[in-house]
Amino acid sequence: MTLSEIRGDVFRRLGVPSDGSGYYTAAEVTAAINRALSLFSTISLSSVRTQDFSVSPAALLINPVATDPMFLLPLNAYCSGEMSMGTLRDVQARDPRFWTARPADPEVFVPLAPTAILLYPAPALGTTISIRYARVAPTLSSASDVPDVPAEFHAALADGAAVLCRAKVGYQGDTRSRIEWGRFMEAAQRALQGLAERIGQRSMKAKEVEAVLQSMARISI
Amino acid sequence: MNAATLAAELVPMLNAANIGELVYWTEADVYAAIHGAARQVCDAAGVLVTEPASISVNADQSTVSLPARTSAVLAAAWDDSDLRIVGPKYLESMANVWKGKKGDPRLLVVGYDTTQGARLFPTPAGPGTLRLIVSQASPDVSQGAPSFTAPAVIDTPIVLRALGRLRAQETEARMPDVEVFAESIAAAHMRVLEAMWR
Repeated sequence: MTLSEIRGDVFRRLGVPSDGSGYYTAAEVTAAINRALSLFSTISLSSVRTQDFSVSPAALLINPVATDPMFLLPLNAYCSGEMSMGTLRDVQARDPRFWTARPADPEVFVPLAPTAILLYPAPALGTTISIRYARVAPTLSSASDVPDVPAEFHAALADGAAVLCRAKVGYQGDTRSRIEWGRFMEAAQRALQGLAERIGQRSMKAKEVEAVLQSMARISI
Repeated sequence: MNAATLAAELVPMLNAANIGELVYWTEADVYAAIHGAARQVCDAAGVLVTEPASISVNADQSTVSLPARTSAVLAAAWDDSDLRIVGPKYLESMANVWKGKKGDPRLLVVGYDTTQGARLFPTPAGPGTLRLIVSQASPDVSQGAPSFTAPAVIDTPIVLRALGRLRAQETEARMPDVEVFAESIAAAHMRVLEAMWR
């Protein structure tokens, strides 16, 4: 679905004119769709891409957000071969002098935050790392823009956006909102499970995925 | 993150066409809510992690100032050797042993005093370099200082948390359902982030 189609769906659910001349403007509905898209792609990890990130000589950390502000969570990384995902404690235990740059390509990546991925060993000469990662789906602006999440979940964005729009009048606890929000969350959960099956839980940090699912199950209004 | 963009998104949710038409809130209230939410989100999820410039330390200098906005030290090294990060109680538990001891530091004692200081133990016998990896708090956006480099993922919990706070401030025509909705979604979003990054 395009932004225009999703917007029309939201207007219909809100029961106002679809040209934005009523209580809700087109800009407000678009902002709500984008907020729903951001939330959906975050909790379902359903917007995935692969990109090269350059590593400066002797750099211990790379900041993927500087290259892609939508960066969320690395799933796999490749340098001269597939890198393994580790924790800071793993690296500290393996080599207390992990801070020192080495004349070798990094073998381990440690996700510390969206703004920082630690590399071990830090490459003395700099290099390029290819990372497959989940990202926050980019915002939609043109009428023909299509959300960067699987098409089967586009209708769910209208559910989430309609509920977010109602913050303006304050009846988000009503029956209709509860049903729409329930559909939105159920779709996010299905999207996450689908991704886990498609790319494998190992590369998604299985226990973190489980925690994501549990967090989602607790969301209620 | 751009606070002005987030404010522009919040205003219609507060039932106003622009920030000047807000009835119950001022522009300062909106930015204060965004700032409070940004601090909370950045602290709780630890999304701003960086390696600040290394710090040169003189011989016999046992305390160092941590970089501004440091909310947690994740790792530290003295001349590229990993330091163990401990709290003041750990140092105090070593009784009198630590007083005056000099050598190559092995511990970084965080929270040693209230001026963002940290202490090296043992006190360095010679000069050296301290490297840190720290988690940062967000900068002050309460005055509308509009942007800082942050992942887009923090925008949603900031908007929702700020919306909940602002709705909670209303004295008339309160909308507790919006407050509860916004806060519950923001809290769940934060749990997702913490699960990913903590």
